[in-house]
Amino acid sequence: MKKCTISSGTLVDYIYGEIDDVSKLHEIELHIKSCPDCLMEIGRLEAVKKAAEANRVDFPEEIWSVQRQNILRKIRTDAPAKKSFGGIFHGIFDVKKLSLAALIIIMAGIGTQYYRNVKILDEQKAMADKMELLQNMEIIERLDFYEKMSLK
Amino acid sequence: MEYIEPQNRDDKEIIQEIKQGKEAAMDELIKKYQKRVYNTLYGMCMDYDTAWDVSQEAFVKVVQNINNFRGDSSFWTFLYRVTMNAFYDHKRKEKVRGRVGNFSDYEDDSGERKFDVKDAVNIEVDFEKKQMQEKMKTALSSLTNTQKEVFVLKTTEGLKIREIAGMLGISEGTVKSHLNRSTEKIKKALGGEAL
Repeated sequence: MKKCTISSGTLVDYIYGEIDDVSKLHEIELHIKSCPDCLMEIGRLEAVKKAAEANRVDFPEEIWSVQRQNILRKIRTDAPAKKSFGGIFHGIFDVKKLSLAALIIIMAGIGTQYYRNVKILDEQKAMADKMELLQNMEIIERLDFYEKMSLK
Repeated sequence: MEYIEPQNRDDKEIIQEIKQGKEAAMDELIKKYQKRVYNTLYGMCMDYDTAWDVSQEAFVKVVQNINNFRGDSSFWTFLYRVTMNAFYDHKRKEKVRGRVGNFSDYEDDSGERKFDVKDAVNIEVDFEKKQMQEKMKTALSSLTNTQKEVFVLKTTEGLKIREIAGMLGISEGTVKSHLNRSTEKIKKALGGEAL
């Protein structure tokens, strides 16, 4: 578009007042005066800036006051509800007490399970002993039987 | 337009009083920043009612979460972040409301407002200006959120690129690039009127 060395980014910086270097600023201003393309581009960019700045809105003070009252009313109505909920929560579900209760329940659960496991293991052992005894008795009976048969 | 501060009290002093529950301090802080918040939001959406509703939401959130403000950044930076979060939340809710119809969880704020904000605007908007505003609105809607934020902070707030970079937590180079692109897009959208 432009046949000059000034970039469009530099022109944007220029219209938004971002060029702090005085000598560079002077150089750009001199260039714009002698370059019709840049002068036209500056005009377009200035128009964008002005259009955006014109978007600012202001109301009469009574309107701003209405907004402040609305905000304060909302803060007032929200705050006690939050506080009371927090209070109830804090009273019933105290975090430390909850943790302690959970720990006791977990420990009790582990203890009960351990007791059950030990009991089951004892029962299994007793059962195995009985089975072994029965098997031994059966072997003795058979041996007696074979002995009697051989004697006949 | 110069923002005239109602009082020159330091923000920290006012915030300290808000933390103690003083309502007058809340009113003072809102008064100090409400025009900036409203105009930033209006710049983002170009809708009087949305800017009104979201700015109210933002101030309520700021006061409710004032204990989270530790003073590491300026109060304006904190307020701006809360405002933008409220704005994006509002947009998300609007999107959902558009999809599901009048769902009870997403109540329309206009019922609470009880009036149309644009009726209170104290300027006679002529046809040409209205046309320009429409073009600007269309152009803004084509920008990304960050481009829009950069453009609004530059043109409405008049902040320096390094200040915008600090506020948005991005590099100065990125801010410059967003500013160039947004200005270019809006320049094209404004077309003949911009000349």
